[in-house]
Amino acid sequence: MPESSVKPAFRSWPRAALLTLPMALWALLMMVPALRGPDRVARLMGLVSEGFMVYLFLMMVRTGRTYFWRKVFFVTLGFLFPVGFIIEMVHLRGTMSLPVEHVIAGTTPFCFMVIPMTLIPAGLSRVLIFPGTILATVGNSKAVAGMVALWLVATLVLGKAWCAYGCFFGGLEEGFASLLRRPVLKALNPIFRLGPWAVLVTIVLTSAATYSPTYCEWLCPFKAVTEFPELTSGRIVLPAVIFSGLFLGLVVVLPLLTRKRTQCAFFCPFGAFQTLFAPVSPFRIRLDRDACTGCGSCARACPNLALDADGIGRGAPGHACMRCGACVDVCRRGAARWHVLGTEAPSERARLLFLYAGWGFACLFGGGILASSLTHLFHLLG
Amino acid sequence: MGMFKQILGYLATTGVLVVLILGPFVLMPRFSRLVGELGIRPHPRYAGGPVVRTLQRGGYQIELSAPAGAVGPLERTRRFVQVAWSPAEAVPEVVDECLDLHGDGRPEVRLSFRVPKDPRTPLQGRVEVLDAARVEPLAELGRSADLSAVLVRVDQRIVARIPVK
Repeated sequence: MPESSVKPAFRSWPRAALLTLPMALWALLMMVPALRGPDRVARLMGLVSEGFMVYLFLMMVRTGRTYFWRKVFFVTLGFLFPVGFIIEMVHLRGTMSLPVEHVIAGTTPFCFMVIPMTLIPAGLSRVLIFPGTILATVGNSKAVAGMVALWLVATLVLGKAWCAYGCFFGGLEEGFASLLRRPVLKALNPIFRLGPWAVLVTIVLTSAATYSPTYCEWLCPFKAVTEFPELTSGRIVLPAVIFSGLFLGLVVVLPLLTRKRTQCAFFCPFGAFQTLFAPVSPFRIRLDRDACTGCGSCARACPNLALDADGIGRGAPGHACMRCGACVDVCRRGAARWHVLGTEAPSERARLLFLYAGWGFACLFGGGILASSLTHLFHLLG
Repeated sequence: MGMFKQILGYLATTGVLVVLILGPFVLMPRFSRLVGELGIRPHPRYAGGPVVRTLQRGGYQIELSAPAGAVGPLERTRRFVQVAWSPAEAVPEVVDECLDLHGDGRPEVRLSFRVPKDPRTPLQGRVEVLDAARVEPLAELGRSADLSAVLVRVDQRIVARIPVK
């Protein structure tokens, strides 16, 4: 795993601090709304989140490693997001479920997962198949237009790296995948990597045919830890069982046994959708075939099963690569490298350029979620 | 060609950083406005149809929407008419209305319900179908997950949805 890497580009504290300064200023700027608010706890949590993000970036710059420090942020985000979300929902609605009143009122927060399903109905009939509002209202600050705009910026900045620096759902799996030191299940059939594409095509077509968000209604594992339709009839019990089963299987048990992000690798349709925009980003991971000994440690370290013998032979990971840096950190020969498309930039320079973009977005999106979730948690605890 | 590619690569990297910096201040508000201007509206299953008639009562009003229902080819949403009383606090304790859902002067249903003082108390409506040819058979309205037959309090409104043929 990345901890065994022996070729990090180590920097002195002053040099690392200097390189971290722009990120510290950016993180501070992103926390301004929280810091200027009337709530003292929110201001304090804004500072804590900012300090956390800046510290992790500093350590990435100083140690030359990416994966471990990114994972600390990502797992924290993954576990704090549902906590904050559930507390907020219970505070607003008195329940974790989505009552009929809120569906009709259009106060459901828009989730990025819905985007692929909405495209065909919106294009054909100008109809949004989600119980939210288009523009932000008093009752719904996470309206469709704002969230789609956020996704557009995320896609332009991160491309597929969204899955490693933005998606709060992935952090849960990564947390469970980190609990055991060695995988119990090692042989994973690579055919399962087509799963996300199959799910994506299925939900896009069924949503276009039925004009309802079929993934949200039937398949989303994260309904188990966010919100789900109110249990008003027996018909709703079945999706609830499916949500819980998929969550337990793909987000908890399989990551625990395989040390992989199995929901992302085998199921998540949004990850597949985001792969379509991967070429937008100029940042890549490359494998130097001359330096590679074929030890396979990069493939074993990759949490998303993006690397296999074919990829190593080709000199590049597969389409599922989310720029998490695990392969680069683990490669003892320095064969796995960060790369800026079209350039001969050294790996470390390419990594830093990517991190300014990737971590900048993490501060913009995840930093705010951390601050708000911590605030909700502290208010709950009194 | 090599130099040209290098320049393009670094330009793209700079572009990414510019998008990040402009994102929260310039791009997101603009993208958001752009999406808002596409003319997309929530599915009538969630939002109800457009309001076509408003009946004034003493201190409150009743809005009747156009029949709404399936938009997609395989959609199973039943057609319904949404009726909304507002403001909820001005609505009398007992409502008993004959409703002309299609606006042709002939009421199709009689809806009666009590409005509890506590807004959290679920509403329960009794329906008497007056024109079975144009209204689905129905005796009660409550909190069904089927959004085409409900009686709920939504913000400052009491919203009833009655399935029609």
